[in-house]
Amino acid sequence: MEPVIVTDSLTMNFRRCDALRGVSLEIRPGTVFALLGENGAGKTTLIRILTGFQKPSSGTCSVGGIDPTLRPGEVRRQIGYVSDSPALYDWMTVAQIGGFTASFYGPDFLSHYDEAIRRYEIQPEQKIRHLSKGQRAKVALSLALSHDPPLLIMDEPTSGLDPKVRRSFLESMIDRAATGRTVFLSSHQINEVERVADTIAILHQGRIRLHGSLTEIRESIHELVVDVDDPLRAVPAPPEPAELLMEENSGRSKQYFIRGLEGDMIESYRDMPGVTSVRTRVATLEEIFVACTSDAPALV
Amino acid sequence: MSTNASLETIVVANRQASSTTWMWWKEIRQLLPLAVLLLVVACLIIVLNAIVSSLLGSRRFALPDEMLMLVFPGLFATGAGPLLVGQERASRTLDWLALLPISSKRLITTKLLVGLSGLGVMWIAAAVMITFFSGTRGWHFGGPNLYSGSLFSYPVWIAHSVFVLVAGFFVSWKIRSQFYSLVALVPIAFAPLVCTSVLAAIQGRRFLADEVDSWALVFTAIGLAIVFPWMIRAAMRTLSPTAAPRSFTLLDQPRRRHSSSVMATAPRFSTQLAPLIWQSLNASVGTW
Repeated sequence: MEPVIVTDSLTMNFRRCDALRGVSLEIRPGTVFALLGENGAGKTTLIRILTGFQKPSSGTCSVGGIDPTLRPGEVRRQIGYVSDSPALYDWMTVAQIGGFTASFYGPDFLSHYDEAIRRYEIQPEQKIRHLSKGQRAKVALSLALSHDPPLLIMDEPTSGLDPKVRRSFLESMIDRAATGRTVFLSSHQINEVERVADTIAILHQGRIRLHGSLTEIRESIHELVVDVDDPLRAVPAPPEPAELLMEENSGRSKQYFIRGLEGDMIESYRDMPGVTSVRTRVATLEEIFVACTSDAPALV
Repeated sequence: MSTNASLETIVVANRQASSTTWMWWKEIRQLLPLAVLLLVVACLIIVLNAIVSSLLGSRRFALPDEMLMLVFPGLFATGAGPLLVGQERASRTLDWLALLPISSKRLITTKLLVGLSGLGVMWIAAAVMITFFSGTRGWHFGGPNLYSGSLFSYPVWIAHSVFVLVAGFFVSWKIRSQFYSLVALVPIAFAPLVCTSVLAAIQGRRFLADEVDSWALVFTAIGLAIVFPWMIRAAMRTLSPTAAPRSFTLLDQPRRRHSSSVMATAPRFSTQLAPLIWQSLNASVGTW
């Protein structure tokens, strides 16, 4: 199957910062893809490029086989997009903005929108300006989903939603992916992502630190704790092909987050002079995220 | 019940109305407050004029009704672009609109046509009001004399208001800040009249001396011919993906990587009044 989104060495340099530094990604159809990153990591810039609002400094990308920098209109026809702070016409009512948007799409749009608005228990005659932040987010989501786009792109979609709605919304994303549609969401809510995403990428300072299936990533990264008899005793980094993501020292205990840790490496740590004990466990996604977004050591 | 009724109304309306109708409805709805405000003020001034005239038995102190022909459609022409484009850019609803399957060309054309239609309505309303309050007294093609003895020259002002409207759209598409776009509009709007008056001074005749000052019309037409393609280009550029900032030289690199400290850059004040003044001045600059 052809990837829905492909980016190749995307870079975006602004006057005072480099927002993206060689981002290469491939997102398969029928998946929930989560882009994780801290604030300012470059997530929104990447989404702006993918939705045709921004041209990159260099590199290429395609969405559904179309270059959004050359044909933004065609890309936007294929997608539903929800920004983190959706700007809607606040003088319109919920029903009017639905009617207005529906006029550009097929005949089913309004019935889908109607269903969504009823589900969220929003009064259609309410003006947008009188809605709470969460209700606005619900209206924006309903508008983005009602034409049933093959690709849904969302920037921090659940900010402002209450836990109950957040849960049902995230579950609906899994249902969408099951029907062959693709969901691209950017977030820093690790728990949410862990529940719904098939594939993740961690973006840190404009670079992709990790990209792959959530299950594979979870299984491939371990926490290794090495206790030594002397706090000053040096313990070498694991040999290749293992990759050291993060290292922390706390007295006689040294903690490592390692990708590709193998059984014989653990044995070799146990045999090292001065090592009193060695413990390992699979890292949580939150720990992986923290490890990947810490500055040292760099992961290539 | 009202919830269902409201959505059903929209469903029925949607079956009948095309996207063009919805777009016109939206643009008109955005322009309506300006048009209504100007018409109300115009009516108030005319009524006030009528009262003053009847009380004093003379029109000596009253504002001439014909002034409305110039002022109110002109004000509408000035405000239409900033309202339909500038406000949408400032509130980011233009980004949301751009996500819908609407071509840039259609979006630009609809906004301009709604603006032009609104201007037409303003001129018709002004003409109706003048006729109602003044009758056909003093009507002639070029318009009556001003106090200075110059003519109003209706055709010139109508053409000029169209030019101002298009120029208003141009500056609103070109400049993101609404304040700066209005500042930029002032010299552009007056350019044809300045050219006409300069030419009149060179030729040694009075400004707008004839019923239809052909030079004013010529300069306005030239202005329109120049500004219209600029407006289209600026609009297309705004609705296209933003170009990446130009690449930086190696000399820029250390500066870009360097992170300055708050201690080095934070302003320091010796009195409690000084930060308030500093904030006010900087807020004004930021708004501009």
